[in-house]
Amino acid sequence: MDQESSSQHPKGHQRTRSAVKGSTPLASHLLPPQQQTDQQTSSSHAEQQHQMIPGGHGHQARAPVSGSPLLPRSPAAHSPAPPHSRRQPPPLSLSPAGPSPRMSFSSGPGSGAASGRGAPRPPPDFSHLLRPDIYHELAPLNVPPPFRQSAKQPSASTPIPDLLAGGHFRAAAVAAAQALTGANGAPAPDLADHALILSLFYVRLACLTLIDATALATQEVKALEDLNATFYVDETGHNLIPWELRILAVRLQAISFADQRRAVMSYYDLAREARLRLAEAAAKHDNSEKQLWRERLNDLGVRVAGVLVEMDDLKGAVEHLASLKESDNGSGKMQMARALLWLHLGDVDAARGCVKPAEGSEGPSDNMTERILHALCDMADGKYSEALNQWEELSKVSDDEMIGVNRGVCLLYVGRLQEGKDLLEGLVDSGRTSHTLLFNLTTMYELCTERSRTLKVQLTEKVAALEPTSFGWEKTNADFKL
Amino acid sequence: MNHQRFPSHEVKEPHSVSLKVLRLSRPSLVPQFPLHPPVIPPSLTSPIGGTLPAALPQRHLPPLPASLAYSPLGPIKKHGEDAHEAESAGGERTRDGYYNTEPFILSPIVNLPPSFGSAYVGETFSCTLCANHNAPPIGEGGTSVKKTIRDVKIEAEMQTPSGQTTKLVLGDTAGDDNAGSGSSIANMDNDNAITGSNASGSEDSNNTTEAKTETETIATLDLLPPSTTLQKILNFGLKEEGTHVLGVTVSYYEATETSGRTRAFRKMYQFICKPSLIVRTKAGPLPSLPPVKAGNGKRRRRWVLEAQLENCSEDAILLEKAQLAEVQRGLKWRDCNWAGIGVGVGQGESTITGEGRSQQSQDQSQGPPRRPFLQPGESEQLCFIIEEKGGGEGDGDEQGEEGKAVEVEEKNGRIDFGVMALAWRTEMGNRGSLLTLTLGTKHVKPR
Repeated sequence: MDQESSSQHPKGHQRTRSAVKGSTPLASHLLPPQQQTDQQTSSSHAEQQHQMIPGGHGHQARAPVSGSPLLPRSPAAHSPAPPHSRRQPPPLSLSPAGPSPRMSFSSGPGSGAASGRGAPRPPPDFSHLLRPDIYHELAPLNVPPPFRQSAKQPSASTPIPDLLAGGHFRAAAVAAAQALTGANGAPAPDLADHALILSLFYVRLACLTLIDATALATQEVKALEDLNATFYVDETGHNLIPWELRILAVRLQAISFADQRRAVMSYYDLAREARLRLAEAAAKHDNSEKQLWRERLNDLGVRVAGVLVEMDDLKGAVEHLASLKESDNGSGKMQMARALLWLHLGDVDAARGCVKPAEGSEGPSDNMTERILHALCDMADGKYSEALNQWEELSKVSDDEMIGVNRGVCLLYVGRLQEGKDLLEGLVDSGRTSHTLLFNLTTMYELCTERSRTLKVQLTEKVAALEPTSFGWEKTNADFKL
Repeated sequence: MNHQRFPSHEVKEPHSVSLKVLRLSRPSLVPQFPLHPPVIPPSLTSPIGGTLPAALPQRHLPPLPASLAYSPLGPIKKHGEDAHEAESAGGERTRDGYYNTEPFILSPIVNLPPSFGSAYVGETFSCTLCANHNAPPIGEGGTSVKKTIRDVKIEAEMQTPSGQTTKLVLGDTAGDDNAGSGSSIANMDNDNAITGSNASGSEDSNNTTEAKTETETIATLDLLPPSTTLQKILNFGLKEEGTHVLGVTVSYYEATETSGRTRAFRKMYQFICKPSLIVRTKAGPLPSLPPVKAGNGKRRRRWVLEAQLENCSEDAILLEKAQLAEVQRGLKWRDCNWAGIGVGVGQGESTITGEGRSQQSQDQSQGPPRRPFLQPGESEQLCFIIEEKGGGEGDGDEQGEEGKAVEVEEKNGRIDFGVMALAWRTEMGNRGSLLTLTLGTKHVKPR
């Protein structure tokens, strides 16, 4: 199942992927949009030639679209064609090569429409995402009893949007898999209804990551195979996979291949596409679409920095973040992100320098971002009492969970464990249940008594009794250190 | 035959007081992986599925709240309300979750240390000791007797690899060992000082029955009610490599209605302190300088002191300071490293504090010289130039008489320059510092 690692990019670039040992200069990926368009049109001819159809390659005759039986997908059928054939430039001639098993990457009929670009393409067949065997069982083995037995558990017939709004992510993941495979009575989606299928697939993967089952998600995402394949390109020439799914797939595939550089490269690919779409939208004078693609581009830039942090290339992340434009309408988010990165790296002076007060102003600032940062910098300098004072001032003007949790942590560091514990318990009572809050609170429980298990179990009951919100409701044993 | 069992005289009752310990390394920023919300086609909510038109309306939406490190929602409200409504409800309060840095991976919320981690030479070992009065659970065999715990005492001492045992001051605040006087690595002098708690000494006890123990090595508490804790924090500067043993003794007086006794127990915690920076130095001569006017008339000798710092720890290190200290009178030194670029000669004191960024232009991508950031295994080369003052400069050398040349001392054909003071930071600003042994040279050319 490692096709993605070495499949040829259908847009015609000569780039090799995971075989790259040295660093691929990223600048080469940042082609200006003008050149993008040229390459796009020149390769569109070639696209018709080698349509990669997951689940169908290796067999010339495609099964009919409707009601397709499960195509045999032995691992052998997935084995990639010999590498050299994939790295060749796509043939520009329109006459298809003869049918050849397993050579459908670079040539071959694939489907009946390969003969000419004017012929209508059959709708893509997404049956490969409807097979039950790609979805794992999600038994509530690691869910504490107060949740499992609670009346707040959703019923099996709750629609998925309601499940998501109620924070029932495990139930939503199960429901999504059932909707895809046609289990549980409801009919399976139409094979060509890619919007519905991919949306359900995204719900499934996203919910798996939200319930700390990311490992399962990295396996299930393999069913998509190469997201850049021509199979996923629709009539307008655009990729029809929902953007949010492509973003998530980048991360999941990087984890499953244990190669974060791949994530950086994939984000740059998406950025290239976003720039292209942005240019198209500008040509159409579609402002809302321009805005959409611009925001997506900014989002990608920050995600690349995140991957660099995961790779422990902190200096690279600093440089990258510095190169991004401020686009957050003055909310100070980018400043804060840069400062947090400096803190993570250890350079507290640089972090303080990120959010500077206006020239000439003295005294404590009104700017919340600045105050939060100064409090964090004080903690990084080991000045926990000063930091605590600042968190206390901040908590008077904001109910933010982060301010409360950080204040509780500082209380422990200045010898006021019981106050910190009470504060964190108060946050839980007010309905906050983030992993961090629960982790810090259970750590304090472990410090303040020999029988911390009793307290932790009481905490599970308290959290289970809270009203479900879109932030999540059901927790796992690991959340309570049980 | 029935054997009667007589209870043994030595009653091994469990202690009513327990000790829990947590190393207080820096809290860490919590990572998050923001997810875009799914675009749910309408057919999902209706029982009849069908093919949809190709394009669904797309907007760039804020990420799913559950994918963030902490909730952007306000305090508990009815199901379905979100932060936006909370903001309109309470005018003066700021919007919650507004300060999250999504989609960036690091968020401003912190986690307590999840584990002990690694201990390195040069760092401050901060640790909290918690003596807890565990109330026996109600109804346990019906034999639980109400106990009053009084006169709780905690003492702690640290045994270093060299065999020395130091009583530790128990304070109320975690903090760095900012005394700055750390002794040399291999220099086993008796100055393994008792490192007091941070100079923040203004910590007020919140518990009125708690004795102030800022400068004492025994923490005492008069009365420890059930389910309460006596918490103390110790800070110890790690100066030696090897196995350290932290020994904590807790004693208390346990009184029931009918009797009372003093009990005590001791716990030992062992950890290994590893080296974090390896310093290798080399000194060599440089061409000498002409004599200074009004000096001692001799040519001034110069040397270059090169050093290689290797990060032999498992964490990345940010070098903050690399300077010479305790430079002998008669010599002055110049920093040729990142902090000293463009700055003049120093006099045995730091030239600049290692920031050097205030005067430079604030172009972000091309800022002032960056501090070196060493990944595990990486090295950094340093260079200092040392020269004789040659007397007569009279610029603030308070130790020498004005106009009189201060001679450079030579001992057995060796000139001692001074020591190198290094300071660094690791994740979340965790500090480390050390002084090397005295560095010098044998390249003493006769004048």
